[in-house]
Amino acid sequence: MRKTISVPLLAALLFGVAGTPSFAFNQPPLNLGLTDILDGAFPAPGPTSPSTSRRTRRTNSRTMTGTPSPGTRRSPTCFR
Amino acid sequence: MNQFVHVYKHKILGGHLGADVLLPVVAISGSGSVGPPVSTNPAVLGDLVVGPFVQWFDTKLLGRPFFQRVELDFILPTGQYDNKYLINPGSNLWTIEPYYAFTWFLTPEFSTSWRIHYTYNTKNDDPFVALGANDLQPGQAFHFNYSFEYEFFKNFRGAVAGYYLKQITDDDINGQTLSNSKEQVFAIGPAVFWAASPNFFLGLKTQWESSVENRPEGNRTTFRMTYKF
Repeated sequence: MRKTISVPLLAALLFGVAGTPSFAFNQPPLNLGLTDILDGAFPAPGPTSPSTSRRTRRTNSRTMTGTPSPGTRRSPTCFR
Repeated sequence: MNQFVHVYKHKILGGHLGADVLLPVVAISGSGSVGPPVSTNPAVLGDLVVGPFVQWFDTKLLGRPFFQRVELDFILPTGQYDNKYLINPGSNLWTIEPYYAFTWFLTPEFSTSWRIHYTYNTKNDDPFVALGANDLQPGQAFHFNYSFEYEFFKNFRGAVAGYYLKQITDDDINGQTLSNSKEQVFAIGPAVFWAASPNFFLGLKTQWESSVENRPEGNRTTFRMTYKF
């Protein structure tokens, strides 16, 4: 099963889905480094409006052993 | 990405109750030639994230100021999704994400901040059509953000910051475990933070990924503005 779907899966993974758009066969958008400095200390009681812009650029895909997936070098870009 | 956070004066267990709502808006571009044709959904609305939290402002650890928060986030499948596209703004599944975050001031200038998440995903019952699967379920994951910050000038902090993700169970496809599908990534990079006024904060950072398994590798650059009403 793994072998038959690995090629489309890796092609999908290539596009930087975590934290940006999502392909179902991958973790959904998660907070990966979106918040960090002084993150434990929200401002004092009251409303706050954070606005975040992020550019994610993917250049390579890695297999389960961490080696580059052959033939998958691309330059996908995501903004949000 | 638009977010609204409200910290209430009402307290529970000594901490302030709060609510967090986040709506991502995305623009996607890409190309590729491996596997099925690459198709990206031109829609822009991502999945809505909502969560209650409790924030403590006045605790100490080893005599030093220690701010902490627990939150239970729900990522709702409200984002735009179409199974004919390989990449979508929405994920078409529910995610439950409890996390614990803290900032510890070791000195007035030097602090460290961490946010530690656990992730549980439900099934996507309408996966990318080219896979020919009835349902897909990403595995459970553990991930955290970290930061070591120093106030170089008044109201201006520089930091080394990043994140780590480790998927702890394999993905499922049609109810069957997909072996060797666990993801991993580590990232690190510089960050700056400026408190422009008591009510307005700016942050900029870039992070490079390494130690990647079963996922794409790249770079993320993030700009964040926060306004306290």
